Amino acid sequence: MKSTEDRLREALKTVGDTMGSEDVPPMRSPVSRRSGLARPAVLASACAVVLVLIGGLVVGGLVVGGKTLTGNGGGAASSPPEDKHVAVYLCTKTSSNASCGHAEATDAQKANIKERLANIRQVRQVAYESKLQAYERVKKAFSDKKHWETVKPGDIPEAFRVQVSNDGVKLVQQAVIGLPGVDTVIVEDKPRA
Amino acid sequence: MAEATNEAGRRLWDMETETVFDEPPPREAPMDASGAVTELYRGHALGLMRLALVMIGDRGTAEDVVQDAFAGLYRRWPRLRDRENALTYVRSAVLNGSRTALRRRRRPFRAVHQPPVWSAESEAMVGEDRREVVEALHRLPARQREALVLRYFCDLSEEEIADAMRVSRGTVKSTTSRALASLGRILEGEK
Repeated sequence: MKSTEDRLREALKTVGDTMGSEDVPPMRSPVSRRSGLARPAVLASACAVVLVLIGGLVVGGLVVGGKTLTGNGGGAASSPPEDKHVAVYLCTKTSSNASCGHAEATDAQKANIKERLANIRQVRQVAYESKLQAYERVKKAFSDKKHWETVKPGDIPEAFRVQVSNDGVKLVQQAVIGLPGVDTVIVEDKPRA
Repeated sequence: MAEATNEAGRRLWDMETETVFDEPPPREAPMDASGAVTELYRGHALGLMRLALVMIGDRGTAEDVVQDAFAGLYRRWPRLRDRENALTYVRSAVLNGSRTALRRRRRPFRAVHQPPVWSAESEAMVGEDRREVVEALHRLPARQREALVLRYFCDLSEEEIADAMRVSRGTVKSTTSRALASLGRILEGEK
């Protein structure tokens, strides 16, 4: 019969040893405070990378002033300056949004979302963009960037690209945020590339 | 099925057999903050992460607690009175951080956290007997648990435990013996 001390020692060692030196990350830069994000979100971080890429695209469009990036925007170029562009990203298997339930948006959900969007008076145009189209579009914009190679078709979720007058942005957000099949809704400051 | 997972678990432990706990501190402590703190991190991060893991149970939170402790040390470095005892400072920070993490969990509507590594649901297989012991340990009051872990996991001396817990040596002695007695009682009761 082992003593309590020995059993305790053994149990603690076993638990402690489930963590090895390969689990020790490099020290976080003391300047940046903790992210507050949940940890085991490998899939979520993949999603985040994609969103950052897309965000970079938006910001890039802002910085470059639309000189190079917005030149090839089909249809967007002719929009009145007060129009806003809203991207309604649809659920994918890798989405970190809990309400997506790790499933792709179904055709019925997409039809419902599209109908809701089309019913808003301020919405001028709703365009569906498939994963492949999104991939091609972003690839064009990032053709000179090295990081691009790690992104594959399908990494960027499908979306509805909505062109809406300035006073209708809130309505679009209210209409689709939380609908089944909707992952995130992003209001873009500048027309997309 | 249990066979297979046990096997996988054993292989996981074999990769890292010796517990790197208190490695000798760096020869002459460099005086600038980032160098000294990085040095300390290199020598002690694993041990402290294991300490936090044993106290909290989930790896992600353990990692956060240790990172925060080192970030705190880095911030305090210019005002730290005895830099020789920086390790004691981080160790206390890890203990406090673990206690805070556990307390936060008891509040409702918090984010879902992973099951502790010693639970039956966890992928890290710890074994029935060990699970019993660790679960019993976590039914003890926080101070008692800390005293036992510092004594039997970190193998610290009474003096070091007293420093880390900020109590007197006498308190360490009485807390440890009381904790061991109640742990024994809990384990007996489960037989």
